[in-house]
Amino acid sequence: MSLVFLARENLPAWIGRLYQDMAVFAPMTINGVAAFRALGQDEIPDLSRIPASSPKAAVFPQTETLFTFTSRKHADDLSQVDIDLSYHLAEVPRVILGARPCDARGLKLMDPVFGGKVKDPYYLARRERTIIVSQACAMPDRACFCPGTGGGPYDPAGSDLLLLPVADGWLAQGLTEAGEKLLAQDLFTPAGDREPEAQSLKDKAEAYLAQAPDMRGAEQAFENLFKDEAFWDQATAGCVRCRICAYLCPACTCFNITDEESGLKGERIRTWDHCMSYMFTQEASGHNPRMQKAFRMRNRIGHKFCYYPQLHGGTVSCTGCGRCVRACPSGIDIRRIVESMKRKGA
Amino acid sequence: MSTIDLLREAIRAKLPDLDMVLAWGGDDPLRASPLFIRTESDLENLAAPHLYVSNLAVNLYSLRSKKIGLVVKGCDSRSVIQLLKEGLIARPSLYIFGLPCEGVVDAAKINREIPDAGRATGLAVRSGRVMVQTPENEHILDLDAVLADRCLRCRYPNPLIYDQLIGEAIPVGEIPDLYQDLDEFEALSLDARHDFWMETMRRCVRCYACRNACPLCVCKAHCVADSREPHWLTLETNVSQKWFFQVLHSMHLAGRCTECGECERACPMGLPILLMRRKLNREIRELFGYEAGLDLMTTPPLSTFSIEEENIAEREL
Repeated sequence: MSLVFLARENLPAWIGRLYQDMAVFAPMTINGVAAFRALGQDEIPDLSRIPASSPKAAVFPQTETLFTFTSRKHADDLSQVDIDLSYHLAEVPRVILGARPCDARGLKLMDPVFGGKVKDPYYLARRERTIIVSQACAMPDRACFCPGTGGGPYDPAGSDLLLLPVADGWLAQGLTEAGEKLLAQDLFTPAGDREPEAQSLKDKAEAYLAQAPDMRGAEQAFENLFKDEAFWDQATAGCVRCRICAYLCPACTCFNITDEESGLKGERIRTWDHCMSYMFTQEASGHNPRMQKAFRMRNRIGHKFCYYPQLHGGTVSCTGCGRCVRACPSGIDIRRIVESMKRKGA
Repeated sequence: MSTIDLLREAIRAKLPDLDMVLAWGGDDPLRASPLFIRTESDLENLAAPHLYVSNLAVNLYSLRSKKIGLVVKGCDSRSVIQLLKEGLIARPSLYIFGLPCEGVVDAAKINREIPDAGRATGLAVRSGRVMVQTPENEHILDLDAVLADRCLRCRYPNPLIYDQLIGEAIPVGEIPDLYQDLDEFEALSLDARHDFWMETMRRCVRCYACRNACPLCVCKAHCVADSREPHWLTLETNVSQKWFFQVLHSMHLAGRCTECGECERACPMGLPILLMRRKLNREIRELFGYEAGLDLMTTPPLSTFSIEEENIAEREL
């Protein structure tokens, strides 16, 4: 498919046009931190930094209402109550702009969870209406390790449109029909002879990431170390049990479902859950099968590098985006855990 | 001997008597991570002192059944004092290496100053300047521009409690904390302050990193924010629930917070939440003349009461 050029100064105009037809999720930088959010009118995203958050909330919101309920008491017999339920599925088309290739792969990893044997109508309603415009990573940083998970800084997998950075803008590459459609605009001009420039940045980015550790093939090592409490204790020593790693992760899908009610009205909501929190496996009886954080970390690592790949042809549930590494207040590095797991559990 | 060598030798000498020693290590050039030293070989991973940004006292409560060695900066030592004073940890199970501190660099500030800081391969501090090496560039920054905020107003560079001091104490003059940041904020209109916090809460992801990185937040799994029974907070991530949580967190720290800044440092969204804690601390200081974590003898004002408070005119209300 041929490349077209988008000048940096034309980005606002392009976003303005997209905004007329769909919700635009893109990274905004405030106080030095870029995070995805639904843009307001005339808001211009910052595509220059690696966003601290992933864009998964565009298809899997941190909080979503599954349905609302209202209890109606019978006037003649107050012990009789009817319950009215109502729900709606997302209808607004959306575009994720400025996802990174690791983010696009993250959504691909979530798809079999929500759209596999059991179809999740809420997720699928959003997902089917979502177009992903990714920006290739010309400047990966030391927390990045996408090649070690099967991706790459210029990996087109999962994107509808890929923007390849050049000095004064981007070369846009349509990958699907939906992506191509976004290019049918006078803002894009023929790429001419710009391709070698983009290629040279791609080569540099790939060279920078050449040392990324391979995070795949750790299933057996994990199982061998399952009962090694000392190993998990040490791997988790500094963890303060916050939720940063799961909330920023483009591939984490665990959720909670609660009823939040007030008086006769309420909502059943779904919210992101987090495996490092004590409540994650707290049972109604009071028993908690994962009392210590070490066991919770074991589950986190097992899920991503053993159970998920066992179910999905060896693909790990990690895209090497490095967000958990960058943001962990205790400097826990998932690469080091998997590396030492492969070494000790071999 | 350099500070790091002195520290390494001091830890090496005490390690046989302790289950572990908490210090800082790792290979990140912009910030060190907590290092749990169990064997002599772990000592090889000690990082350089200007990277000792985190407050290791956060680990003490969950490790209270162990015999722990702990390295503290001046600010960290105040958290230890406060934990001891509240009876949350016991002094005999603790061995404290006191480290006079000349300030630590804030990786978030370096990231704001330098676009390619994420690719840094090395950092050196020399005579008031910070040199950050990346594959493409060598950046030179003023140390003052990238020191952690708490270092810029630091009054206690020397630990206030220790068993052993590493190196020489740093001479310190009288540096009052004038709460300029708070004055500037409070000069804004009520609407402007409200809008500021609502926008800040919009960006909050309710990850509880601020709570969990706080050395004084010891309720952990029993926090009201996690409780379903009673059901104080919902699990929604809307602005009002997040604001509710932040206010709760700040209120529970009034008169306990030592302003170590870990809440703000841990925040993945870079939210200026220490300001709320500082607001309450100033109130406590003005009402009760009290600052948390300075000595073991005084009682935190909200852990006691007087029939008539000197600065609260109850009868006139």
